Amino acid sequence: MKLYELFIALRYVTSNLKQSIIITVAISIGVSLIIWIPSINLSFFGDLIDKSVSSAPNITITKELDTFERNEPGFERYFRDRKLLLKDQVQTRKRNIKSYKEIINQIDHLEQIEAMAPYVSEQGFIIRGAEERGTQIRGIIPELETEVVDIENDIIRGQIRNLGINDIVIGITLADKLNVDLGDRITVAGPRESTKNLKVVGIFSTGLRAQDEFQVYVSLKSGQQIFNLGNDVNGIGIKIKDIYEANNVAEEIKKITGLDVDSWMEENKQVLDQISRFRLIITFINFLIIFSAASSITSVFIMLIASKAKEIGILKSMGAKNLSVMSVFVIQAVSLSILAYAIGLGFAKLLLMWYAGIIESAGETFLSTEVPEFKISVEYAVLAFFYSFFTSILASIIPSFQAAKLNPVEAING
Amino acid sequence: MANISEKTLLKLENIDKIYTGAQPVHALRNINLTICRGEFLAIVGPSGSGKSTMMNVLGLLDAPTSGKLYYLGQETSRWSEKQKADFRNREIGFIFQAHLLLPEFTALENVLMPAYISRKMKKAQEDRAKEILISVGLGDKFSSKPAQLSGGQNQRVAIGRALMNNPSVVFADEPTGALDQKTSMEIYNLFRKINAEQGMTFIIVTHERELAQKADRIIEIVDGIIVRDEKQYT
Repeated sequence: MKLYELFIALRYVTSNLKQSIIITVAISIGVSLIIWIPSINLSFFGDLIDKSVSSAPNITITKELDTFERNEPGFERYFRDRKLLLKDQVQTRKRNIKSYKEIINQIDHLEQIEAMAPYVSEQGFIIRGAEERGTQIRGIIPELETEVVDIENDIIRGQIRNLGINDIVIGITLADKLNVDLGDRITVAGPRESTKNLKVVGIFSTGLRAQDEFQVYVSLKSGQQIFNLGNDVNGIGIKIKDIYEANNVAEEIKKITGLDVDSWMEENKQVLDQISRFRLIITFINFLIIFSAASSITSVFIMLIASKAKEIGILKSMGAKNLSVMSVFVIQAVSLSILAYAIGLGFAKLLLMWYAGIIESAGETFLSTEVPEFKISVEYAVLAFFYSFFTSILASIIPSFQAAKLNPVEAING
Repeated sequence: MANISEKTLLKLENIDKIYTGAQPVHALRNINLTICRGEFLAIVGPSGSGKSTMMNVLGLLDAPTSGKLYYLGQETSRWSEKQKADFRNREIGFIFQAHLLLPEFTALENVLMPAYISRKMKKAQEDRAKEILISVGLGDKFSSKPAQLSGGQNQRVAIGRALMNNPSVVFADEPTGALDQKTSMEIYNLFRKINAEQGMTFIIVTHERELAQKADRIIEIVDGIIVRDEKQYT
């Protein structure tokens, strides 16, 4: 037998079931917690990022803030008549970009850029009978916008690609609240008393509450008319190849154009910061889990080795070397850790399914109108594997080393 | 190099063993001894006389504090732990009062353990282990675990294990101490048979006078000193 250490170790594993079960349970609980907790949170955050990234451009180019617009008499009158106090929002309006084609040409060579789409986007109102709701109106060139934002996938009724000058696409929540469907007509009002009566040609559902309730799409031309922009736009949306390069690409575009450039990472900074904070907390929790599992493994091994002292002595009297004796116990720990990992992974999956069931029964979450897909985090599954592997080695190595160092005479004589 | 004949299995020159501690114990004092191949000898003495220490030193389980120990003509004090382990595996068999079998393994696997350790496990080794078990009267107990065997049967398995790698010498520390008289006699006869048939050296450490009287040579130790070393003609 070439590897008698493995033979002895596996026999110890199967013969000393009580110890084997204690070690396996200790590690598998640790593994399942290490996988389960981050998987829930990362599923939530990942879903939020996916939805945010797919429903908005990775990068937007805008012009600096216009601080003079608030003095516009028509605008103030509009709000005053409706007893609304939205002066502050007026102040945050961006200046218009007059020659967007020129800007697109300036940055078109950048390798990371996949698609670009000009847009107008301002706050306005949707009016349907007596119902009047504040909304974010986005004027787009559909064939370009759909290259930048994955909006076509979110269309649940109708279409957006052939969005005409008298058409509008609205979110599912807004459609429900206004009680409108495809073919119905609604009035869109801009801040300068310009209104348009548009036909609903599409309804989308992104799963993000803010989008589905407050965002509407009209054609670029229509938007320019509603906001009296002439041929100007107030932004260019950009899709890039590697979304996590967004900050760097934005910086580069800013250097070239001198305009304000924001990346999705900046706009979703809170979510990304939340993920970073979460990772820090989870690292600490993982440390505690590993520490407690390692302690139980070490104590079980100390007991196991104490009970095997005479056998260790006799093995050494027969010529077993220190390294072999040590290997017997480390192999036991490693083989149990592999078994425990498989059990822990399965248990994490079960916990995730159970949790998904709870969330699904609630129907929606705080930020999202759709339940995210709960997936095992591959990153933490890999981490858990290394955790179980190295914890078992580290936790068993000290008692195993002591076993190897046992004097055979003392061990045999007890 | 000491003057050692080919017949000599092991030789002790001025061996001392002192256990250090709060109260140091001088367990062996200036031991000089030569043991030849094929001898059947008993080491006797009262409890605490140093006979087990002597066995541990002779069996390379414990190192002497001073003096020289030669095995098959080679001085052992400079051997590494690994060399000693290899030598024990190849040349020495141990039998203890408590059989000290591995309870998780069958009788056959216990006998095979020294072969596993020497990593020379082949079909021939398994056949030899079976032959040994048959020769010690356990031909029908290959698959039995120690818990399923009697004290005498377990001691027979331990004997089989000691013989497995065909060692030059077998050390037996109180081998019949836990057995009844009838079983003790059977074990003794088994030792004698193996000694006669295979020429293996047997060194039996015992406080049982009756067993010692049956040996060819008796070495008596008192307070770590050899007080008697005489051949007997049985």
